[in-house]
Amino acid sequence: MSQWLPPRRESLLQRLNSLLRDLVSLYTPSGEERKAKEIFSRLSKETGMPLFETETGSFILGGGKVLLASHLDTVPGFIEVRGGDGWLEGRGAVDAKGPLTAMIVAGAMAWAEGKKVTVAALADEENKSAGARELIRSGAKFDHVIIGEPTGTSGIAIEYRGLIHLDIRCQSRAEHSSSSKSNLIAEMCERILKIYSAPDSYLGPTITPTIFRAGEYINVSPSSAYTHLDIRYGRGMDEGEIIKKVKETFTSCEVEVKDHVPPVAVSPNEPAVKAIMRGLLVNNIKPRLIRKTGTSDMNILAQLTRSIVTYGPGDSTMEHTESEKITLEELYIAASTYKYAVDVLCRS
Amino acid sequence: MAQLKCPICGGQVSVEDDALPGELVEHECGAQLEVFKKNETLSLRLAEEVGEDWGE
Repeated sequence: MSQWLPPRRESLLQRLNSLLRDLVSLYTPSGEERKAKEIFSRLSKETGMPLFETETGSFILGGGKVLLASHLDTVPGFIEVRGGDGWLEGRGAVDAKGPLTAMIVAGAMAWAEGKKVTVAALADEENKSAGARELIRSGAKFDHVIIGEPTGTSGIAIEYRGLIHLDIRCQSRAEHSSSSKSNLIAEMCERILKIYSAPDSYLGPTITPTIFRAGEYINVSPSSAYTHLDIRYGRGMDEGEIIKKVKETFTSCEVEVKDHVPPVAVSPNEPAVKAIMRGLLVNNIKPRLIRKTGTSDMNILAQLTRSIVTYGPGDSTMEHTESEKITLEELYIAASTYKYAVDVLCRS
Repeated sequence: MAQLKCPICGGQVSVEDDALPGELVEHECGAQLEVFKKNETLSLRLAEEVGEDWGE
């Protein structure tokens, strides 16, 4: 355990590099997080932090009222792990095994000093956030929560948009295509174009069709069509109004809400935000407050406490791309910032 | 706590005595403010607008 007491810069960099390489080498798209059991068992033995594996495949280390939470799953598509002088590339290096690595190392250092901290490697964030939802259902209580997602190392995310997933199914009468008077595909396209809203403003709503299926045979006008809408909206927008507008556009169709996560926004005055801010300042980095257009586990875990913030190393424009690359310097800054924040929050 | 003046509404803003230059605070009037040091005393100015990150 004592080996985790705050080490010198060089050995901390080595530790971050080695753990990130281990995690990124293991391909863990959503649903395959359990493959990391051996790594977490080893970490538990090395750090003395108790380990708990959950039903969804999340791994929880330690225990305490300060939670460092990132996610273990990645989007699909393995990227060969490559490393060079001070950098590492591979699936999840940015989203979010880089932030997760920095959190584990920071948490282990704090634990070695007797601080009560919980580090969660959550499952399924890239899918339906089953790990975060399970944590809420478990009744666990935390005073302060820091979410590990890439924010460019100096960014502090205090706001995320909400999301609505809608399934829309429309029916028509199948007819011979040479003489049919109506066409469901053409009608659906017209309605989709009417509702489509490109991502050009934060508040939105951004309404994006992501799936479209229709048609049964080459010379039959289709009898059924299906589309899926991915809707993102900012704080202050009325989700009921958004859904009503969709229903009015797709009259006589079945509109089903498959998922709904409300937006989240917290004040920069919240202790968790302030602790990360100060952690950056003592590392001589000027913090930037940001609001993110997507949705993350912060939207869900905000049910636990208002003292919540998202921060992490890595360039967010690399998320979900074929080039997820992160520098050890970014990991070092993030680990130092998390550690500072845990020290402060454990005292509060 | 240091009592500083909001440069936007003129109201009082409570800032911790050990606040660091560069720290950002939100006043009840809604203004987001940055702590800075002027002649060795803490002061407040309007902070940069919250940035938008179009990543995840």
